[in-house]
Amino acid sequence: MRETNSESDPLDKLLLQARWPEADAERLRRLQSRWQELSAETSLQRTPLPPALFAGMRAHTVMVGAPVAAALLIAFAFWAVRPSSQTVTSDQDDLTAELPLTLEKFEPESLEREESQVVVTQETTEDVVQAPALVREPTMYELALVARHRHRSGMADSSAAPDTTVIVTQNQLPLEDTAELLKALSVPNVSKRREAARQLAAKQDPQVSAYLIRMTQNEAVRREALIALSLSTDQVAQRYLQHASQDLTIGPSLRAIQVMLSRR
Amino acid sequence: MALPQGRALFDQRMTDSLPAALKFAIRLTGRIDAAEELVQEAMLRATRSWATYRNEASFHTWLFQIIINLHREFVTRKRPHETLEQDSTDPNQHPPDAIAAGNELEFIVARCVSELPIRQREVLVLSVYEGFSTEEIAHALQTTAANVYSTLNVARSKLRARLEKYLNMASERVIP
Repeated sequence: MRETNSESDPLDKLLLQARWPEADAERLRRLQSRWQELSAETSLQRTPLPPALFAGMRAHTVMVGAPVAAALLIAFAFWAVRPSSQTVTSDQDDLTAELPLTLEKFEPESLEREESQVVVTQETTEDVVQAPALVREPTMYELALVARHRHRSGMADSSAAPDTTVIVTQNQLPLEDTAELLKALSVPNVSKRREAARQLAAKQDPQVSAYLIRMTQNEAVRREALIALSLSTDQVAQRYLQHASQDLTIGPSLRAIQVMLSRR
Repeated sequence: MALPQGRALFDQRMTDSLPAALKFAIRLTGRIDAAEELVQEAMLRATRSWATYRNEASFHTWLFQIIINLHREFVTRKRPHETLEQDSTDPNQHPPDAIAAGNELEFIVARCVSELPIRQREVLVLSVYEGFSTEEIAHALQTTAANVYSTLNVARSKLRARLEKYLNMASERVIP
């Protein structure tokens, strides 16, 4: 939109007379050939995406790729040094999180491996406690450690513990409702935990008892598992309770539970 | 494929625009050598940033924008203010009759335009010689239409004062 009228303003006429030096054809040809060179040189570098975006993608690759590679390396190293068999789990492990729905996942073989490994551990611990260099009385913590190992070794001792491996190999494991009840043993609501324990006990199922026995190794759900076992009249549960009542770790908890149940 | 077609189209547009770009650069700088150098730099910058070109604006406007930005860099950072290749004589020293007899008046007017401050020169050249509208100039210079209008008025006032002696002659003269 031109704001001025060139016919009325003499300045516009004067401006239109302006003449600059004109470039000859040689300069123009030189520029055109220079453009062709530039176009050929940069043809491979051209991209529809701005270079800044590529820089961002490269940075993103480094920022994400490096931690992922490190995590994979650590995971590989961890699994490389990890023993093939599953050893005795920590007391904080949630057994209900990996509830087996089929018999194969209950893996009685792993129980046998646990057995052998725990025995070795027990011998080691006993060696430490009975070592001649020990000149002081063991602390309560050390005694508790020894008691725990004895308990676990007792659990793995086929002569003392119930024959759970035989039981679980007989049939498929309990159904989904049982699995739900087993999971309910670790919910925050106390009344729901107790109710789940009662329902599990009412099933009178040796397989459920065997799984409850395994759950007693986990402190988080030990009390509820013991309640369920105490309420059960199943033979596997009864045999375990006889064995556990003499155990230094589980014995006190079991007696307290039995007192609580007798008052009701 | 869209990319090669776009590339070929870009090459073609650049080749077609080179004469206009060179002429525009000469009007901005007032010197042929500087203008050629400016256009070469503009071509280089265009190859680097051709992906940013969208068909929203005309190719001319986009290329002229590059030239304008480069010219500002040249003037403010690299080179002092430069004028025409002609000897920089004061236009008022020549008698008007003598000037009107030959082509010298045309060069004097051109030199007066090329001696304007950068922003005023850009606006005037784009408006008077390239035929850009106020909105197009505002888009090319990244400013508002009101700013373009006021800058153009200031530039015209300066030129009017400087070329006052020749204004009457210009009205009588026939432009070939």
